[in-house]
Amino acid sequence: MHWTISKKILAGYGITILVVIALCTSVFINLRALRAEFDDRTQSRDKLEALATLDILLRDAETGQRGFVITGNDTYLEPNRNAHSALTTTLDRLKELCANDTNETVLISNLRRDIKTKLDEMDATITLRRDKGFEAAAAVVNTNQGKQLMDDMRTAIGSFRSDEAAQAKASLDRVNDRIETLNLSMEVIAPVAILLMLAIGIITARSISRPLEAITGAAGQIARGEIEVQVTPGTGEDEVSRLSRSFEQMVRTLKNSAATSARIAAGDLTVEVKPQSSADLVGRSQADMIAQLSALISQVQQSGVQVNSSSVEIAAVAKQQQATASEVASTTTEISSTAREMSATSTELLKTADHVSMIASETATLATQGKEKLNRMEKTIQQISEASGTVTSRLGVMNEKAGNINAVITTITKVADQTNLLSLNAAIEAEKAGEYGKGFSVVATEIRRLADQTAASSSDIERIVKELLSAVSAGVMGMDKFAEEVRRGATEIGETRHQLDDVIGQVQSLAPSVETLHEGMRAQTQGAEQISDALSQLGEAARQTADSIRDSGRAVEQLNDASRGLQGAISQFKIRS
Amino acid sequence: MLHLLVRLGNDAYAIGTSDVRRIVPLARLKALPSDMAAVAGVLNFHGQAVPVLDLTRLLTGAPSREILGTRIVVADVELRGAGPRLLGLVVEGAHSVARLDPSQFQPAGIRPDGREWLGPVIEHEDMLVQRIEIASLLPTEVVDALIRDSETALFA
Repeated sequence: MHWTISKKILAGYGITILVVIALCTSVFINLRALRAEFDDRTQSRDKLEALATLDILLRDAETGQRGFVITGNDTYLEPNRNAHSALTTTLDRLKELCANDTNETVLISNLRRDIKTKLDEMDATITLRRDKGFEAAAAVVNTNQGKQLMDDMRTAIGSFRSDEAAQAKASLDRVNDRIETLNLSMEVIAPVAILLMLAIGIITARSISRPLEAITGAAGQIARGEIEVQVTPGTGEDEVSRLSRSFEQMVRTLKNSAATSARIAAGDLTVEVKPQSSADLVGRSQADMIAQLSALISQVQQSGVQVNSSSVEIAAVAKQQQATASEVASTTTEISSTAREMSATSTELLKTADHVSMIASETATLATQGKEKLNRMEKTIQQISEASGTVTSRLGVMNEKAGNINAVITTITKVADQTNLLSLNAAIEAEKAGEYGKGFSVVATEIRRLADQTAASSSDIERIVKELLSAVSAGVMGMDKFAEEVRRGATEIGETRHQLDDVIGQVQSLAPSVETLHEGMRAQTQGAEQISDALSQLGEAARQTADSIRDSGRAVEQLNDASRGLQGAISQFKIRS
Repeated sequence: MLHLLVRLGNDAYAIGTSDVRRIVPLARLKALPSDMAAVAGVLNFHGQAVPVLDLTRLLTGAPSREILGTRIVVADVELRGAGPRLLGLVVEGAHSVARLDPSQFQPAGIRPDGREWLGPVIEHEDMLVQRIEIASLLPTEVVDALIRDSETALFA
């Protein structure tokens, strides 16, 4: 629920009115109860009066009856007669008064019956006195029946009255209670209600006046131009809280605006200004100012950058030209020195060519000598080749002989095998011959041993022959290879001889070429000297060009400095990119 | 007792010489077409036809190689009640005889079924040599074949 000020005031008055209504209601209820009690009391008093009248009337009736019975004079009877009608009237009135109470109605009807019986009894006595005289009546009276009735009635009336008296006392107590309650209402509730009303009034007043005082103070400060004020915005929903919030917002906007102005003054144009509304003149004018300043500054910056880049470019071009000029100068110098070198080299070459021609003739002589030596060498190789052929054929013979040895060994091996077999059979036969064969057995064993030795020896020989054969075939192969090498050597020597022939021929044809070379070299030396002179002149011109370019470079440097200064000044402004 | 030492496969064996008639070189045998793989052929022994078994084949399944020392042992073999018959046995390495004491032989410890002819073993020149019992050498089907042939010869 949002407590606005009007709601707060209404709530305060509402509580107060409720308290007053409660107080009035309490008083009204108590008063009405008292009024009822008084009514009750009035009725009770009437009842008591009626009862007293009844008592008196009964006594009157009895007095009249007694007087007549004693005297027989009708004059005495008059109270009795009056009492008759008065009793009826009084009973009717009493019945009317007690119509609300069933108990009393019953009591009254009983009383009415008793009174009627008594009156009847009295009438009977009176009739008896009038008809039969005093004695008869006195006898009836003396039965004491009448007195008994009378006493009963008196008792009933008495109890009725005492009941009424008790009720009256209870009623009085109740009245006292009510009065007590009323007193209490007046003494306790009324002051409490007054205090409550006072408290509500004070709280409401304070809740309104306090924030207002704070806002008023802040407004005063702002009016004097101090915008650094602290306003605590209310959190409630009432008008004052809303006012404080709006005020706080206003202060914030003012502060923002001031901060923006400060930043613009410092040259920072990146600040973003959003007008609060179309009517926000300050915001709009600040935004316009920033936009226009930014445009101006960026234009100046661009121009500065352009000037700068142009001057840098010019400087670069100038430098390049300068470099080119220097390069040209140095290149011409280089070329001229190269030309000189060429001239020197040609002179030297001339000398070398003479030397070459001399060496060539020497070479020709040596080559002729070498050729003769090679011829001799070829003959020697021929001899070696023949010798190796002989060795190879000898080795072939050797191989054949080894084969023969192998055949002999095979025969020996077979003989040894057969001898072994023979010895085995001999041993078996000797065994069968028993004691007679014993000597033979020894011979057989000896034969077998010899056969085994033969087999072993022949096996050794076989192995040696095999080794010999493999050595021989290795020798044959080696000889073949050697013969091949020798042949190749002979061929190479033939080739070398041919080459030497060529060398001799070429060396002899070298002499005229050397002469031609001589002429060419001389012409070249002259040309190189001429080139050198022309290039010296060109180098001088290039050096002059480089100097003038260096001067223009200095001017560009100055322009560059000026543009850098402009950029520095502008760079104090920060603008949004 | 004299024994002929032979080599079958990779091992040395000994054959008692008492029943051996002769040791002859490995000659060309008349081939004998037969289902029995161990029968190598028929040998002409001094004009007498002698059936020849290849012992190497009987033992290892591969035939004897034709090398020095491969020879035929011609022996008398007792056929179950049908009297002794000459029988040739091809063996390898029949180079030497040795005198071995029969009492020094000891059981090999295992005797495979169908190889009852492999007898006890003895140590000789650092080798274990097993004795071949020629009497129980022949497989039943070979014995049957031999007996059949002798009966045919009787009635002819």
